[in-house]
Amino acid sequence: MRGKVPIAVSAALVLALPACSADATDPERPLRGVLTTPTDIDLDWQDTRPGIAGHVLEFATEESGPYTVLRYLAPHVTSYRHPDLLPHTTFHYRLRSYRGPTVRPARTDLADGLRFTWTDDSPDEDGFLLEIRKKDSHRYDPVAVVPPDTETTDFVPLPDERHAGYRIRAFVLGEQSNVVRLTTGE
Amino acid sequence: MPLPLRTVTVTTALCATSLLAAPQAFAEVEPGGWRSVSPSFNVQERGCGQVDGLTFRLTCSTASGDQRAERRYATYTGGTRQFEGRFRITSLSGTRISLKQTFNDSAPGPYFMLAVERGGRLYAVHGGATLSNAGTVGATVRVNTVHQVGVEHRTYINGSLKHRYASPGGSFYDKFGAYRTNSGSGQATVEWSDIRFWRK
Repeated sequence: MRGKVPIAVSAALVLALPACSADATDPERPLRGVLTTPTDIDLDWQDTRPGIAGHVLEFATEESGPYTVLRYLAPHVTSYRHPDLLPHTTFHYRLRSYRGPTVRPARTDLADGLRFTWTDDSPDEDGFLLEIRKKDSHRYDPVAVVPPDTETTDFVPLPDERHAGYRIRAFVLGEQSNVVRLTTGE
Repeated sequence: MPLPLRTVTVTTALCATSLLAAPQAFAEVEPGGWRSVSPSFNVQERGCGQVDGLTFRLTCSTASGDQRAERRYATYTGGTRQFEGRFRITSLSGTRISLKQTFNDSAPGPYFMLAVERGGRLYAVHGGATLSNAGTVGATVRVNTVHQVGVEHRTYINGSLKHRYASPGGSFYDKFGAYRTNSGSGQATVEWSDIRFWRK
């Protein structure tokens, strides 16, 4: 139901800013990174805006991309380690927030997995996230991304995921963060 | 959140990197001397395999026979070769589908096979090692392989080193697409993009 993702003008302005900032907590530059070892990069971010359902962390090895999604991350997650990296390579990282409502999907047990079905009544989603709440946990985390205009997905759970709670989120991507650029060594 | 001391350290690292690290002319990995190359290829469709550009489909669920939809690139001998590509599995009702192969033309046989199980586990067919769980339907995954012929074959998933494998000498070639492994079955649709090769 959705074509191109609109990017707010402010996102372009954020990207145009120089990489150096004296204030590491600058809300306009929420993503930070450091080369922890010659081949490990640690990233962290702050995003306290209301209504944020999570973030997508992406990387590329060329400034112009293509960017590849590293992970969809729940809002309580504010850091990520990208380990064992390609040596002598410049990595570019950016973060995108996403928002969207959740629904409880119908669940069918298959011989080797689970099937979830739901009704797509979202007019402009960028996709759907299958989110899991493991037993004894109070938090949901994304475990699979599903293309837009979809109303079913199959999921093969790990042994401790079969009896977990699941929900579906129709998500819409938001603005891009600043870009963090770091070069590995070794 | 980090302590103030770490905040200062992080800011310094970012600034130093931004000022000193010039963008690379190529995205190839591992230390220099790489030269971009464009090896020729032919398309292989066997059984229920179908190739449409960079979309590779296995349209049947059979668990036997030669079911393949792949690109087979030109044979190389010696030196170091690098492959880069991104794939997205758009449907997978089957399992154990090979996505990328480094084929030993001297043995002959597949020397390294990156395959996916239903559920998204990416694994090395020979040895069975798990490389990542990133191969879920709908997710885009970047693959780099670096092959030092006669020394070692390394596989990077989304930029991280996930597999190392000793390499014999001889002649090899790259393949990617969708191919039913001996223990696998279709159906599967895989879309590849941003394919590049280097050598040194």
